[in-house]
Amino acid sequence: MQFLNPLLLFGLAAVSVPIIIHLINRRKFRKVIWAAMRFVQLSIDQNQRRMQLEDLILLLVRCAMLALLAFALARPAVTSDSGSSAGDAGVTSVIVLDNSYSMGVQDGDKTRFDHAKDAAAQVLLSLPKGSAVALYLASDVVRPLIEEPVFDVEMVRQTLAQAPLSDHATAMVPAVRQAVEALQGRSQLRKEVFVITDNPAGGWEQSEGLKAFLAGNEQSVQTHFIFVGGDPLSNLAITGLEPAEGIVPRGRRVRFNVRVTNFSKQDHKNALVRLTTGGGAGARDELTIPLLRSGEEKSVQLFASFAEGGSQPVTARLVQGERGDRLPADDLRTLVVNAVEEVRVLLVNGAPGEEPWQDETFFLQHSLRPAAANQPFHVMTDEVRANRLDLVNLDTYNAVALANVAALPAAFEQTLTNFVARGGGLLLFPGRNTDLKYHNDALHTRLALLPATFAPAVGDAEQDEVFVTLQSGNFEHDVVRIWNELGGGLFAGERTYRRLPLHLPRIVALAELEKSADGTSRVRGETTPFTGWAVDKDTAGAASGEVRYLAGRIAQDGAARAGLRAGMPRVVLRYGEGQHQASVGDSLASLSQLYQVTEAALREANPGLDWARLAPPKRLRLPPGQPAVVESSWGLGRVYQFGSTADVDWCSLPASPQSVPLFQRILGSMLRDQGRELNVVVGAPLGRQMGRTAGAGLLAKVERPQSTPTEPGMLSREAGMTAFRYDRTDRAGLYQVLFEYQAGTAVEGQPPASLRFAAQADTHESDLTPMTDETRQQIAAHAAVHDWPSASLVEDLRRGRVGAEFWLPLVLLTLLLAALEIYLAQRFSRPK
Amino acid sequence: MDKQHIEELLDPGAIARAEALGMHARYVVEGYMAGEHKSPYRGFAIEFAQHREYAPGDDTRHLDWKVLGRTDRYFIKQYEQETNYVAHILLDGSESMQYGSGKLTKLQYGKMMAACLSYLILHQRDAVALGIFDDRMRDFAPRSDSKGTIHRIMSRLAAYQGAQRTDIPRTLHDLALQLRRKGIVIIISDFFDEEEAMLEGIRHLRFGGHEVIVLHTLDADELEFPFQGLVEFHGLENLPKLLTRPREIRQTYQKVFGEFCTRLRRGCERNHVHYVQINTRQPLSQVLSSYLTFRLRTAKSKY
Repeated sequence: MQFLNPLLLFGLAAVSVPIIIHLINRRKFRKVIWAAMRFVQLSIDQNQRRMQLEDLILLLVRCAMLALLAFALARPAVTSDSGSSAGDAGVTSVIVLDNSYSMGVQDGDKTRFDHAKDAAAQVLLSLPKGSAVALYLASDVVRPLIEEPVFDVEMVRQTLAQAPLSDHATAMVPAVRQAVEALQGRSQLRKEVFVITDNPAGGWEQSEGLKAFLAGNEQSVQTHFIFVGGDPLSNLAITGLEPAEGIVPRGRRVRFNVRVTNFSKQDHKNALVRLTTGGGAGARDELTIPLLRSGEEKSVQLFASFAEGGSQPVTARLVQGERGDRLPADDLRTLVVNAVEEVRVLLVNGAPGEEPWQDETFFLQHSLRPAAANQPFHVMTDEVRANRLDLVNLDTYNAVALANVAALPAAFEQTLTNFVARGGGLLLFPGRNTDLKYHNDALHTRLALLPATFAPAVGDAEQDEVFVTLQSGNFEHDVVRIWNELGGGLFAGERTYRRLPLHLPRIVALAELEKSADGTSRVRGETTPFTGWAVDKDTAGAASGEVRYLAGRIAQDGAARAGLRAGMPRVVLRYGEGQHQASVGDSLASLSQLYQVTEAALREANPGLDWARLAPPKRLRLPPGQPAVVESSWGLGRVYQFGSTADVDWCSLPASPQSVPLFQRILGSMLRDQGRELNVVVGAPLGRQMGRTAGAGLLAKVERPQSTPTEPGMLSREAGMTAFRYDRTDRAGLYQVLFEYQAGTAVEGQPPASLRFAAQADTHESDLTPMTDETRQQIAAHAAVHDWPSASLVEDLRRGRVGAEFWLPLVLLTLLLAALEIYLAQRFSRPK
Repeated sequence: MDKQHIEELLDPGAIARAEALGMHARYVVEGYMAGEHKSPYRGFAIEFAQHREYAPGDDTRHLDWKVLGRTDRYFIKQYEQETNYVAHILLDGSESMQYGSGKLTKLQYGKMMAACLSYLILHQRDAVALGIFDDRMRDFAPRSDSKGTIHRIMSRLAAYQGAQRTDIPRTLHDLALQLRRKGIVIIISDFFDEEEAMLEGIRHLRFGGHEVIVLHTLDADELEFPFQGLVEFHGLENLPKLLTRPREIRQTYQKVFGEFCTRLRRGCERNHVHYVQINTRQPLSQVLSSYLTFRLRTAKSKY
């Protein structure tokens, strides 16, 4: 026996109420001065026993009534088999139906999603009368079709039949959590969650956390997993499509990297990959991959050109016969690129030389525009000297490179921050002129523009024996990841003789900070004020399901505000192994601080070194891993901060052959940022500022992928600016937005040009490898696991339900007692 | 005694209606003036008391002719009893008579009744004596046939405030011993006392040859017991408190009370005593007239 609302057992105290009322009433009587006392006494004597007995009976009935009511409200229940004879209690349940795009796998005539609906119908069949059901569609987002459990099972059945498939990825763990938590607050005896899904391993990445979660809620909510996935399937998918250089110039052949992955257990031969523009109607390029081994991912390079500028769609497709493979959704991938006329970069020269090649920006200019001045190339560079920055207008530029600039004029600071906030790119190279304090205090701390602080310069540029190299492999950042395939050693030969070590800010969770008495924030348990990034981990990104961080500098208010616009710093390139020429005053601690490496790492890199006697001409080996190039977003723009010069004064990278693809890719990443709102992950909203031109009466019509009917987009108008937004990007592919004015609207000119967006599905979803037996066992330890199709699902589900609630008989008994009480009270109070 | 008190005690309606029956009442209360009727006084004799000189206006029938013949002087014979009928009105003035659910307590009602009866009797030139008692006789107005006596009676009635326990038997026995001449004894009381002892007292009076009339004066509440809810009864005459729900004992009470009244009535009837139960809600005029009518009727048939 258990009580579902045990707190209401305190209601048993109400049993004392009739007694208290009785006692109070005995104090509330009318006084009558009376003469014929003898007869009253005689009457009482004759009736005393009867009256006492009646009083006692009434008191007992009333107390019993209240006690039973308290019991009923506390909802007693038994969970043993024997309890079921008392009645079959209804189930309060949530059906979580996976509608991620792996559920679109064809299995005979039906998709997995159709099978899941069949299984859900069986679940409904298994529920006893009086059950309530909610219905959630789950993928990487949870979309409740019926948010609160309803008793109208027929309505659930109809809603289920109309549930749509999506191109979202699978992430079942949050959905299971949400469903379980939705039932936790309820006080029914039987609470069950039915998760109907295929079982790709990718959807259960957080199964450890799920296991703990299920274990914690096992007693209160019974969870059923019904897996509809069949045997492992062969699946070939396009898992990536991007312009190789990042930049897509109009009218030029642009190289695209198309990644194709074989998720099958078998090798795949002769996979034909086709790249088309203009939504399939334009020119095409294709290539056959002769052999794609099991689990292998290959990039092929295909070319496309765009005759017109602006947002242009490009689609990569795997051609596999008429029907494709059993998961056709991932056989094509569409991207919208921003075809640009030209890319303009302003190079700010902080140390002009007597000869052009001596200029600080000479090498950078040639890396960005590797063509003769009279040859056409889509990147155009302009140079300006640092002392003329006041006169510069950045509106026409896509990026700005500051090379060896001492400090920025105050007016330019504002211009630059506005430029980056709007989506411009910034490259910053230090040099001998660099004012360290200005850069650290103003650009890093105050404006939060630079992702790292500069430490004082180390190394000697006048010699060539002591240097550090660049990393040779394990490139993580998108900009340099391609070198993993090209051979990492290409950077390892580049030497840096002198540099400003980059110190990344300390990052702590916002919850770890506390306000101290002097108003500054401190990490709990520390005495010095905190300076660094405070991260609010609860701020989740709505679009892709990944957690995005709200970064804020806590040191000063102004900086904190600026920090809200800055993204998390990410290292683009790291230094490899290097050396340090010891100087007077060096110590293990100071070097650890300077290079931001642990003392243990320093000791390990220098075995046998006497750290107590560090002095010239001793040389130390430095462990690899210190950041050489750091990047972060800022507003809509992106900032790249280098640790060494843009010319070859301090390092050899600018003159390296790798500098051209490196800077082209950096520039490409900046431009991709500028057009990133054109491509979203499935589920993320589409949005675009339409400017002031669009007026009232404007309508937006969204043409969705796969020829589904058009839908209206949302147009909002605020402060004279019109913004477009569309949320239902649940299918991957091209979304075209057409604008027109409502009939009868008096407007001047044409409606705005159409917009194109593309939504891309999560590539993890293409991996149909079933979850491991270990994962399945982990889940089965705390939940019931079923497979579909199964002839005995209904019986299996029913068999698992034991126990019943007893509140109804108790309430009926209470009502019976209430009726008895009324009858007795009437009868007893009759004149006798 | 001021006029207000007299008006309070003499219910004009009651007097008017009773006067209408006055002549009949005269026949009821036997006297020489109603010689055509049988007297209730057996062995009746009028005893000579004294002579006084005749004064103009005296009834010549009372002239002592023998003295006139012997002495040639006019003397009027005066007798000890100026009337041949005496009504003793006994009013229970105990604390239990203080109860009253309406405008009047039983005592007030009894006082009015006593006053009305006194007036009526005096108005018929009969004699009346008034006794107010509780555990003993508290106040006694000796018999008188003077109409002026009514003022004295009124004053005594108005001044009396009862606050003692009752002892009706003792009072009746005492009275029976004191009364030498037969008459009518009218007892106005609630008779909340020992029944047998009371009836013994009544028998004692009857043994003395008195006609006894019992006016059992009760409040409507005492008859109906109409109380609701929880009630604490505080007993008059220092009886202990009782807490009960009257609704639940009403029927029993009415039964017990009814039996008491019945026993009293039967006891009276056995002793040839007129028993009249009076509800203080009833108008006094109605009570008096109906009783006198009844008495007239029964007197004719009886005597």
